[in-house]
Amino acid sequence: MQSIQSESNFSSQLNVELLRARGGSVSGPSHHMPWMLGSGLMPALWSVSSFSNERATSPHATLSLNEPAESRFDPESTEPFIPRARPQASLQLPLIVGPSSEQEWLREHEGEYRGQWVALDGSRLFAHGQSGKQVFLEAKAAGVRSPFLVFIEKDPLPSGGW
Amino acid sequence: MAHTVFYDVVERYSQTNQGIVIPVILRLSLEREVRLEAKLDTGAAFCLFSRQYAETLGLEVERGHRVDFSTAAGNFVAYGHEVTLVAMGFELTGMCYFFESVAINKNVLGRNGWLNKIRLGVDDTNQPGILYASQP
Repeated sequence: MQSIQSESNFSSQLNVELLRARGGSVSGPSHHMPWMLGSGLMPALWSVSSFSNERATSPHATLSLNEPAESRFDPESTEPFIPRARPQASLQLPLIVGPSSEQEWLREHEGEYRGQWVALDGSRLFAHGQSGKQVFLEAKAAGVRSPFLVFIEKDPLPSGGW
Repeated sequence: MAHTVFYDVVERYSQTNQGIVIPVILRLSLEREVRLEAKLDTGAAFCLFSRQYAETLGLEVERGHRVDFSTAAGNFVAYGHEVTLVAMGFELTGMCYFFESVAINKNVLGRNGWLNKIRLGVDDTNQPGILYASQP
């Protein structure tokens, strides 16, 4: 596993370095996550199945493999491309998640629903109102299995903790 | 002296003035779960959630384990129920507390039940907006 050292020269791109050091790389929108989710490559303790597919495949799940050069597709080659088995090191790449699409929706639209509960699924609003339970039930009735339910504070003051 | 720590999950969170807020799932079963946002709070002894989340899960709040909590702003009562909590990809089953008062709309991930179950890394100086986590 990759180590992270708590030193003063801590890299400002630590997450990138983390992946590189593990034989991985950071890329744009990932299409690698679906196979990773379904292939049993996640550590057993991770409950990845509980994330919505939208989140797991969001542009923020920027995990990709830095596969050996010989296993990459060469567009100029006339030989048929046969992908090799992924290197064992890929098992140790970290999962990069968040913010969820619901959180991004909130940051954009929270001003429109101050003092209300909102129920979302992905970037879609299913219900809003004064009762959290009622809003939740409306979203469930609309077919959302696991609504994202949040109360948007009326006065968005900075958090003072407890 | 360098101290080496291992992490498996990198979570990116929005940098707002609301603290470190991450997505959470509270679950009783596959058919009874709700997703929400919760604030990372190293000063909280337990994981605490708004009463409405217990109600959406079908829990009777007052039938749980009653605890009186104190804060800088006063005291409050909350009730504990055994719930599965999913955050940063880690699924943990344990006691989560729900506010007695319907007026408190806060969700926090505190020590018992979460921080004491995972290894968490924060470097808000050099890596703001990023959390690291693994299970010990």
